[in-house]
Amino acid sequence: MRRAVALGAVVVLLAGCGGQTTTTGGGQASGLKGETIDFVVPYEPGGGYDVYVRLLAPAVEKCTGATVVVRNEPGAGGLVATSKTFAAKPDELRLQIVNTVGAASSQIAKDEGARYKLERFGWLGRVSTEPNVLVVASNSRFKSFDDLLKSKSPVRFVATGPGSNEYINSSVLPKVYGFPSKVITGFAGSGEARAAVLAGKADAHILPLDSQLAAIESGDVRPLLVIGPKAGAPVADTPTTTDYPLKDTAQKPVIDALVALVATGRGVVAPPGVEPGRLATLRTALDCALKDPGVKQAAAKQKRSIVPLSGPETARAVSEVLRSPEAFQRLVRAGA
Amino acid sequence: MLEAFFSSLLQVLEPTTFLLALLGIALGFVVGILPGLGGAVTLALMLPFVYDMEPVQAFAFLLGMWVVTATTGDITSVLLGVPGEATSAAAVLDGYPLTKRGEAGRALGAVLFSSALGAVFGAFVLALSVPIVRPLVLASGPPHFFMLTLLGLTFVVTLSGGDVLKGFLMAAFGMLVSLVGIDPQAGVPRYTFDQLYLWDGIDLVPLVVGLFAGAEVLQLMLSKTSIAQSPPGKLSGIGVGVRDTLRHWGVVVRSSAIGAGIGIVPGMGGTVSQFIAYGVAQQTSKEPERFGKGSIEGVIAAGATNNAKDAGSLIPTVAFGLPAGAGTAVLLGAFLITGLNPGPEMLTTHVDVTFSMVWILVLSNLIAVAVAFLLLRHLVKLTFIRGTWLVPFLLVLLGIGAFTANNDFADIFVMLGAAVFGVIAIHWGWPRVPFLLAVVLGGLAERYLFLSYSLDGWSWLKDPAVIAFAVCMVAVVLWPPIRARRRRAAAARAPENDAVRGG
Repeated sequence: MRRAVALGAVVVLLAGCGGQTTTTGGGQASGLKGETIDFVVPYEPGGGYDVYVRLLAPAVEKCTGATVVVRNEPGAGGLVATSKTFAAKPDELRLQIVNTVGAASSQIAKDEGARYKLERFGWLGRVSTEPNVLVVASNSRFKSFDDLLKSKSPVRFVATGPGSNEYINSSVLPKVYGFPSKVITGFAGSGEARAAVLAGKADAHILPLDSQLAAIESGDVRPLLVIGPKAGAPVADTPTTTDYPLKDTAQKPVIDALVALVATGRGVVAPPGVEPGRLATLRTALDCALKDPGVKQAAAKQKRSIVPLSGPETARAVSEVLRSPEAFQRLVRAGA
Repeated sequence: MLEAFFSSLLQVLEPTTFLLALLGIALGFVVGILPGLGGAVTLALMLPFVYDMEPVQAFAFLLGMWVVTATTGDITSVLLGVPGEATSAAAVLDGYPLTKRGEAGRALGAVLFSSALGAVFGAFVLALSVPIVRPLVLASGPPHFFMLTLLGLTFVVTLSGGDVLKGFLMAAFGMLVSLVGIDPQAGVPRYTFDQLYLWDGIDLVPLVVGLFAGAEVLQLMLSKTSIAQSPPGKLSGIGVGVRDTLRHWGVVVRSSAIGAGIGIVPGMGGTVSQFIAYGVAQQTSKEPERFGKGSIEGVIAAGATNNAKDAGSLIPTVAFGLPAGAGTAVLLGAFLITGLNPGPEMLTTHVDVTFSMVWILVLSNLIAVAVAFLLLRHLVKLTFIRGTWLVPFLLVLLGIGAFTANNDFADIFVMLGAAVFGVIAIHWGWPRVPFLLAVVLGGLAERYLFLSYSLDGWSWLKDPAVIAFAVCMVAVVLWPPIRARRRRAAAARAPENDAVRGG
């Protein structure tokens, strides 16, 4: 009862704020105390990126003493917000969560809308990365990845649109392993794409593990391959790309580049040119928030993984991806 | 299964759960009335609060809130001509003219009561669909969705009132506007003029707010009177609206069925279904010429479809974890938090949770409508305030309404542009709805046509359901002239009869 009343008070407060969460925390002295940080989500409320930012915002407040305002700025698959952050002034205190995979492939593909250079952002660190998993419908004629490799007719993959994580994976993987394929694009969202697989209209779908969990656990889809290192339940027994040696060894750097790209995961950036002292403070703040027990608990509850990587390491990983082998860049460009 | 159905009612009525539902309802009530702050956004904000709740509690809270936003959004549409939610735009078309005539009470009575009936109907569909939902969802695909968008576009012709040519031209213009943005298949920017803002196309929320609300507020500013131009007459009663709704029960059933049916289709959602239901109501009405000028049937159609659609959009979410829109996408997060996997188990082991959703849909709407009825008398007084006092407040609402969708200032300019376009359209008698519908449906039609082709080649044209849709479309086009001819014939016969009798 008391919880309900307290909840009510918070709820009314939030409703009054017009879609923005604002709470002030006590916090440690960090030079950010009393300041307001905009934490930007480049997508609409409710998606994975939004969930992560809303999880982290209160912890960042606690760690810095600043006020964190979560802002959703959807548009052009995240390109609008990322381009805005790139153009923001260094002292603006604008942080953004980045779909690094999408942003990097848009940059590699020299997309018109990619008005940023990822290597020039102030990288605060990585929040998480999930391995991508190739799934088929549980009643599919493909029982294992071997069946895909042996397929004479094109394996039909589904994807939302060019440049999406699922699109890049489904265009690169068949080329590397040398089996015939076709990518069907234009779905409104991953859910609609999965529906086509479940209805037997298409064969396979590659998505990050987190977004597949429920469907795998309910038995609607069957995982056939993990792209990247061995993963935990429920795909602990699913073979990975390392279990399937390449016929053409020249393709090895390409699959490595794909795995490296996926590993960049969900990162957090500040605008380019942030003063080094302040960047260090912000990095510490993100690190502190990611270690917060409340954040860990809430993430576990939502079945969202937290796999942090420090700011400098994330920045290094991103520049390496941007310098990936020409053969891989060509495939990404052809896809976009 | 019947036992689970009733035991789930007891779960919903359990004190803590019911209290949480009431809290959600109160919140949804306020959010719905305020333009801009939408149901989906509020759901996302509330998600962290359900961590420690039982599944039924979490859905009582979230679902109670979400469905009520759609109900009370209509109140703002009818009273102020500003859609409280994007899904409440159709209620403006006839609700606002009724308010202007001093019949706000009647319009609100009708829109709220039909809303409640629509919710009950939708919940009924959801409950009945439990055993057949999985094959149903799997059997429907892009070809059917494509035909549905075409059917919607066909209604555009009938929505244009007297002048079919004007309606057709406005729809054509809407189709052109829908082309703006990145094309969904190949990712090529079209008509974006190097502006990143245009990549996602023209956003629907600022367009709806400007086209309907902006245009009305501009007119109110110029007229310097109050919204209601005639004093409240005897007919201003809420009871009249309720009786109107009962008298037009056919409109309620048809609109609810359309809402629930279209709710299932991903991407279409409430914005489209309200206008299709409105079009069907006009098409089947005995007085189609009164639509847009204060027809109570138009108000009823808008109200009923609004709440039936929520039940429809829950169907694919529960059965497969496929959200049909932004609101259900957030609800999907609630499934994961409470440890439920959408899919077969929601229809077997956890069927009580699914049924509890049915009860929550019904109860929260009935409660919200009852509360709204108690408050209506005071709300109606707003419409008799002088325009000069009301306009500044409305302008702020418009700005917020357009801005909060994307937090982008460019949306304000789209809203203002749409408002000017709306005033021009009203002044010279060009219908606005065909334009808006074509903007929404044009993009969907393109996407589903391409998907149908890349999934099935042209073999989908032989699908029986696709053929059935085509037959419907032909009927929609042919029915008005046939009806007009039959009326003329009847009118011609009537004087003859009189003549016979007289002679």
